[in-house]
Amino acid sequence: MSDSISHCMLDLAEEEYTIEDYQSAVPRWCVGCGDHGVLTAVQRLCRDEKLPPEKTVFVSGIGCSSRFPHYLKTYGFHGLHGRALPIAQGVKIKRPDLHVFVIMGDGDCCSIGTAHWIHALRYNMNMTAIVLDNSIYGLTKNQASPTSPVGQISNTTPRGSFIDPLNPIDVTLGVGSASFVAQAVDWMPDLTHAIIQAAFHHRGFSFIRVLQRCPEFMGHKYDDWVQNPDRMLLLKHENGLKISDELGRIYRNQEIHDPSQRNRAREIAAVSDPIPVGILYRNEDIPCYEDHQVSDVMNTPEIVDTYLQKEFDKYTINPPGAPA
Amino acid sequence: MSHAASPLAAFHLIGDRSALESSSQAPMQFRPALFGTYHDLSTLRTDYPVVLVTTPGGSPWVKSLSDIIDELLQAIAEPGTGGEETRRQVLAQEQAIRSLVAGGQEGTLSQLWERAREHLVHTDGEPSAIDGKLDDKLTSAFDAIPLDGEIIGFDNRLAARLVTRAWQESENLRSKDLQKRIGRLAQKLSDILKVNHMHSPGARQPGELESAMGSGNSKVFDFEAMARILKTAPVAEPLPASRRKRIQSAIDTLDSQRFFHSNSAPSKSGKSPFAFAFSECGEALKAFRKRLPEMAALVKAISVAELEIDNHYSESRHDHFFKEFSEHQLGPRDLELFPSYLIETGQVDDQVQEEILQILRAGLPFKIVAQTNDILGDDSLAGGQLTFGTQGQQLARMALGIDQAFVLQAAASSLYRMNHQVLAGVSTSGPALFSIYCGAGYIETAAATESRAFPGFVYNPESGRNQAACFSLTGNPAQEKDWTGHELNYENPDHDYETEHTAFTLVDFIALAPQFSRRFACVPRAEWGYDLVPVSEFLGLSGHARVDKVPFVPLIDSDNVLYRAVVDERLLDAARRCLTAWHKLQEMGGINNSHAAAAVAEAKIAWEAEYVPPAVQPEPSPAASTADPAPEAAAPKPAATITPEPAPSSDDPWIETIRCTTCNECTQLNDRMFSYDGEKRAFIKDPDAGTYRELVEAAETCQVAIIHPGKPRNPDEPGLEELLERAAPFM
Repeated sequence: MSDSISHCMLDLAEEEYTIEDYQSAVPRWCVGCGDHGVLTAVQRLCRDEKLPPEKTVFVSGIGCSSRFPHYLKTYGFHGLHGRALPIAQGVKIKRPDLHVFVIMGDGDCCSIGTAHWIHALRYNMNMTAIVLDNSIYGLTKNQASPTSPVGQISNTTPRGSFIDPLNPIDVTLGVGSASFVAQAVDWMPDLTHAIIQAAFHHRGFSFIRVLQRCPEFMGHKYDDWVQNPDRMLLLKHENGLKISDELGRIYRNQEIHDPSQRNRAREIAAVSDPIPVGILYRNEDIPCYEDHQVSDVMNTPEIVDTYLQKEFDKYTINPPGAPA
Repeated sequence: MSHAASPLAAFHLIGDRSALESSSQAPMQFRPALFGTYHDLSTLRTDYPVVLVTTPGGSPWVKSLSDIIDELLQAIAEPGTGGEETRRQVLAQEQAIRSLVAGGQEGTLSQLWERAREHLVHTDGEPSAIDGKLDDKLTSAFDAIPLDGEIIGFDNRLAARLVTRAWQESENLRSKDLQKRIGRLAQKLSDILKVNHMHSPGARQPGELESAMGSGNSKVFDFEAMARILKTAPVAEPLPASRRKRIQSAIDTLDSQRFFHSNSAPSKSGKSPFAFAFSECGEALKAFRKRLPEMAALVKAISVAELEIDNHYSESRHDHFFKEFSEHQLGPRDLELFPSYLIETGQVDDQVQEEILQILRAGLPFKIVAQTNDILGDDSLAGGQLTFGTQGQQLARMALGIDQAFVLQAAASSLYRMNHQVLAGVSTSGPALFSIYCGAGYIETAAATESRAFPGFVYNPESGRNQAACFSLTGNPAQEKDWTGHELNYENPDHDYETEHTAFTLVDFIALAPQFSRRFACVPRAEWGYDLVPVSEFLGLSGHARVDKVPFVPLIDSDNVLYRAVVDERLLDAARRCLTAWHKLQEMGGINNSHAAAAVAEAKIAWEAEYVPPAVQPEPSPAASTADPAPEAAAPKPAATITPEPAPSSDDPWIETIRCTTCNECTQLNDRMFSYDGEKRAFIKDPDAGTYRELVEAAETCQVAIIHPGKPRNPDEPGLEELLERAAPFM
């Protein structure tokens, strides 16, 4: 099929990228930290999707995982604790042409940022949010987070955490406008890449929880799952993830799960052993917030000036010509 | 042939009326019997009149008055007897509007609502208290209608107005999008130039600084001093002159384009915008060709703007291309950007037909409305067959042969129900032909579709790649059947109620046209015999079975007295050809497809040959008793098992690369021995680039335990015994 001249010309200018084009500083995460694998998966996505670095933004909050933007040679915004989502939403509403990614930790998203998280799901703006959930506050040296398991000894829970952890997938599925919900684990990098890729292609707010190892404070929490592939449950479907033969040979425990089935997704989300990995829920029909909010008026300097003057006039004392 | 049937048979075969009874008359005042139940159509709640909605914000572009009233009543009238009064009043109001439209009044729904309301309230002279209540009720009812627009009844201009409104709707959307895009591009280009200026020494002059800061500070701020200070500050490198010129040229072209305009923002060039609605193909083509250079310039400006804004314009790569770019390089995707052209041709003669086909063949974005008002023509054989229906249908059938054109054929009476297809047609990127038949009135027009004289169909090449996806027989009643059928209820001479299932054929439709009356001979009830066979049935008879039979259609006179009208052979021949044409359309629409039928028959024969058991079955063996479990053949096949890929020899070190999490442990240990592949996953680059100890340590520290050290490659390495013991779990 023929294409428009402008597309042909843009194709002519299209760049080929390598992973190195997206690499910035050497990551300062601990050796053995699960964040490394997720970073690689994201860099692979950027390369595969040929995302122009100048058109790509990574927004993060505070935490180990939130150092993510520093290690990518794209635009980045290392924000405030729990506030990654509103910043990302601001970027998206003003620059819908940018590819927006949000990187949060479990403390960032599920504790101080919970309100933003819930409303980001409700607004369903087109962006990809990745929660790197290591179940602990690592950057501030070992405090319990909302996803810490019962019995977790930490500086804030010296006798062990005694309330059930929050399940971010479960909470997300509880918000009616959630349109893409997936779970990944950092020790299955190919699958993490595939899930992030599916999330990127989803039009709407894509929420991915990545279960991530913290070698420093969570010790051997996931060792049994890392070393025993049969304790992982791969969710596959023709409308979801397709598992390669190579991966299928290693991870034999698989379930065909249709991502349009929300109730089944909830049941799967409640399972912690085996750990489910894949796309739990996807709904392409939920409208994006920015679709409703597109203004016909462009923010030209003249328009901005008019609006500002109108606002200032509200506070004008003795406007010109008015009686004193 | 019986004696009684002979005169009728003679009329049927050779049109000889001489032997007919005087009571067997030519039907001058007759019409199809199925029309007996329809008298004054203005009192019937048909699809028409319709409102061409102009209210912005989510309303459909067309809606029938009856649908609007139904929705209104659902919203404002209580269910049950409580809302009965409101229902009656609003329905009376609807009826009054219908009468106004039928009487030729024009206007918007709100205007006609007002006129009808006044008419209802003031019918008996001075308004009473009850009338006052009605007045208020009708006024508040109208407030609950969320839309407004011109209201049009069924007339000769209906099709053109309906398609025009759909075209406007589609063009508004398209124009809005592109106008916004052009506005944004021009703004962003201006921003580039503005930033360039802000970085130049010129922007640091006192006057410029003052205007940048605003007038409020002019008395307390010394801009001269500020200019002196800023003079020493370094100046950013200006844009190259060629780039500035290119950007300015693109801005000028975007600002002066005449293809899209809004009422709020007149064209900056001062020139009047282009018009895109025409009444002749020639004029439209001329205008299109004349505008091509301007179209090419705009496409070029858009492309340059997009490249410049993304900072992707490369002079070495793009300059030559854009220098040579002209209207000859405009492709279909570029043409899609621009408004389409609407042509209302009216009646189509040979020359217009050739022009239309030329446009369709060229794939130009023209939407053509070709209307036919007479599909029957004269009763003239001109040495050949009667050519019923072919005039109107010929153009659409020819257009079907041009694969890239959207083609919609329909009677005007069906257009409201096909409004989605009409909108799809005007919104399509390529050419579209709307071949419409509009008869003397709604019922006559609807009868053309009902009788297969002018069947409806839609061919939308953008719906898919195969015939099934593109072609649809939408708008035809009883698509699966040869003819449509209805119950004909009448009272017989004994005053009993009788019902006959009656097909509505092409011949019934022809009976509407007085110029063909000589081809019918009406037989009063007293002379009906078994030799009279309905046309639909007669057409299905074989040659031998037709002997002694004469075909008829049921007609009624002005007093609604039922007759059977014998039909002459020429009409029957026309009906036969009409049916053949309908069968071909059915096949295109996937009904009774002859290829599919042949394939099914073949497959059936093959299946029977292979699977149907021989007539005599052997006695079942005792082993195959009912107690026996299901035979093996019926058991489900075991799921395909995945054979694990053989691991490399355990003598060699290896890594399960696919599971690597890029944690840098191994590469930090020895980056000559361990390396990352293109996906940043570790592999053993050179097993001899390090010691066995390093391999074992890497295996031990690997968080996901995917490194397998294998056997030592150097038998002289110290401490091998201990290392082998440590390596054992990773083998």
